Amino acid sequence: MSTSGSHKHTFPAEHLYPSEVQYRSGNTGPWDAPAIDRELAGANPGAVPRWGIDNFQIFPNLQILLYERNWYLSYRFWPTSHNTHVFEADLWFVPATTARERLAHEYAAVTVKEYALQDAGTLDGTQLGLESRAFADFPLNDQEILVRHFHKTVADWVNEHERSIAGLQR
Amino acid sequence: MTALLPTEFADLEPFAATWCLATEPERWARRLASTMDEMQAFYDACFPRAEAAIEYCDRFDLRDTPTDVERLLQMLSSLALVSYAIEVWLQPLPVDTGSARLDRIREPHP
Repeated sequence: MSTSGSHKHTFPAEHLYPSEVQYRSGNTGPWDAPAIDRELAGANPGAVPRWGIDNFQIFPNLQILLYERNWYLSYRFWPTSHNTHVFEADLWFVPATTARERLAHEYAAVTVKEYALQDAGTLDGTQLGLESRAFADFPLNDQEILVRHFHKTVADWVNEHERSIAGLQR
Repeated sequence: MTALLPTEFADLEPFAATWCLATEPERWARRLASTMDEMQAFYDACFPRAEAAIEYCDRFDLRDTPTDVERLLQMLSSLALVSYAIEVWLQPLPVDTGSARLDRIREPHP
């Protein structure tokens, strides 16, 4: 899924945290993109004008977020029970050669943690809601197509497994 | 007492023992264990000096940094971490994290 994202490096200072301006970095990564020696083949498959971010969801548990500033994030999700999981996030940069670059990476890594903790904080409520069985349906709009595809594929796998079990019992 | 930081940054020396920490887990633990007043004092002293400190660190090879300069770099990493408590959350922990926790288990040095 391709999106324009936020081109934070173009925002006026009054719309940024002071430290984003100081470290020239933030939730879309370091502002000063490193030079790389090739086109990013496969980037922006959605041909989004003013492209910012690609989100590749690779079933079942790998997510790759490719940023226009020439870096990427990977997420992995490891279920540990029906209602708990371990989340792993890695940030992948062209290695820093200066302190300023290293600190821009650091600020991006700090930011990922701050945002991820907030995002993950909503999961408690979502999980409690699901476990309440109060909802028969869980609408996911087109912006959530990756989530929708994930759940459809999980359901296909579960259905297939249940069919095979039923076949064995016959 | 022996100075921890380069003499050019002697004004930040009162914060060095607390905030010159080599790893993010140490910095994160220090942030959660600090009061907002303590972090505000560090932020107010260090933020205006950040640009000069980054320029100073950039005079050295990142892979062969003198110990006092490496400590200055560590302090700038602490400032990055503390900035979220000061500029965004107004508390040590991000707001509404529920039962989530995240530990950094791998990072480059410096």
